[in-house]
Amino acid sequence: MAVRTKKLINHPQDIQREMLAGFAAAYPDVIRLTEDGLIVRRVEKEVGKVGLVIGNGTGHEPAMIGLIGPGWLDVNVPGEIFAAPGPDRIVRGIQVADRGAGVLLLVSHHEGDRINAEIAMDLCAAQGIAPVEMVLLYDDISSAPKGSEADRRGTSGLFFVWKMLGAYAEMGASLSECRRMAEKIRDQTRTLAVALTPGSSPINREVMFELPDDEMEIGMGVHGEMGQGRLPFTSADATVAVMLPQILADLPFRSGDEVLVMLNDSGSMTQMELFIAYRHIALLLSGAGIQVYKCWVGRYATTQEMAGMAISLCKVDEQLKSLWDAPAIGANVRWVQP
Amino acid sequence: MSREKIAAEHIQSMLLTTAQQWQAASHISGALDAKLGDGDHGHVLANGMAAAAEQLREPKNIPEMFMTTASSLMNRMGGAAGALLGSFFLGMATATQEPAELTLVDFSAMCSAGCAAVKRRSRAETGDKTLLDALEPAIHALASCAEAGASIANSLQEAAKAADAGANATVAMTAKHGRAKFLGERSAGHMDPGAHSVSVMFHAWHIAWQDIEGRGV
Repeated sequence: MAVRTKKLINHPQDIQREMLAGFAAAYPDVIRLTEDGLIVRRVEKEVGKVGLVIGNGTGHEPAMIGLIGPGWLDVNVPGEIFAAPGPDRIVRGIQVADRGAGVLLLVSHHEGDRINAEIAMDLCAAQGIAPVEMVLLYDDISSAPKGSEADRRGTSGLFFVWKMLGAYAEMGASLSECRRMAEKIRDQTRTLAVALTPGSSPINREVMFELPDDEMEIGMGVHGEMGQGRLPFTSADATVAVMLPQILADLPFRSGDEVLVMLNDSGSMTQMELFIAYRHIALLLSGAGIQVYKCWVGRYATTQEMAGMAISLCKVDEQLKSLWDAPAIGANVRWVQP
Repeated sequence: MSREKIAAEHIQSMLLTTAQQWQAASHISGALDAKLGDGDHGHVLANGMAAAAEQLREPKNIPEMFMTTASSLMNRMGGAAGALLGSFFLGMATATQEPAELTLVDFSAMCSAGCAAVKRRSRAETGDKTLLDALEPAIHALASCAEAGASIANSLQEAAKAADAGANATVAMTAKHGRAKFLGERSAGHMDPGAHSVSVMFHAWHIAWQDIEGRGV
């Protein structure tokens, strides 16, 4: 124990502030860092459109700082490393995002994020900051059984919500339409992750969990929370073959369905490994009669240098497909239809 | 001789002593959190309460002091721990009837209101391996003492003892709430860091009260 990993930082207490400053310096054309530490769009959303706000602990980059911009979200309230921001800063984010059509507060389901968001909602109500609605989002099938979906935690599959909701708000959808759309995308999304080697805390540079060389953990959460259990470490195809059927059975996804697929690298997988895994995912989906509309393969939401990946599927209809295809220009996560 | 009333300056001493004691315990809290979370609970809590302490040196009435503490913990700490400890003090502030001077019964009722606020926010129950496992028994002990007409010093001591026992009981528990829930059975064998911090707080209140009586203020 107590083997310290190498992190190129200055002082642990400055990590969050210095990262945000560097991010703002790198992408001044897309985003701006406010004096109170919020990441906001450089060019504000048009008046009369719903504002989209998310607060979260940092350490998961490019999530969520990378997802602020046209076609994405409007304001990110970054907390400290792996800790949700406090309620006053969330309220500030809501005020900044308001363009006269109300604000939707998006909450990836973790205890700290939920509680701080609820307190922020109470403060908005007490201070007459209006109108604002909140939606709790979750996707990780390993964190609670089917039937208890609302107890599940939020992980990388929520990118489907961020992307399509960003497009929907940009089209001029109302606040209640936006909330219902967020719920619809959430309810059609499922994720399962696997971890091979742990990431380390940038604060104390110690590994976040122990995982023997000959084991892997199915269902690992985005802060190193343990999942459903450990299996012997095995091949790419065998790992996909364990994970994908669980995801398909959960919604369930059926033959004839069209889906978006996201294969997220949790921090230090190689592109080589991801594509080998994706190859088998595509093969198994095809065998199940499920058609892939589009896929994203890459590093979108991370747990420091944790080696592992999360497979996410979202069942789509024509409306969701058009929302998916709309352009989204974040600082370092950009999507334009090829 | 015990005091009949708790004045604003006494509340100020109790809160400032809490800041000192959380600072002194920050390494222990951090080590506990490293077993169940990411190991930052100790220093984040100490920093959050230090921010409150700075503002508490200025004269304030009782609800203002609890409100200041709540706001500092929530906004300087962030995370679930900041929100829940902050909710405790916010609940106390909201339930304050007498802004200048409290009886033990008043104070005990305010603590109960704070505890209810934590329960409502966390949706946790006793036995889930959270800070409630130390908070609830301490509040119950305080209420029983207040009802029985015990002295303030004895009541705070009984509350601290009950918080200790509650925190110790979390060692054997499997977490059913918060991030440690996802450790499942692997969460057993370690004390909940939030419960530990609550027991440190009640000890701080008792220490502060002994000091107040010693000085004869």
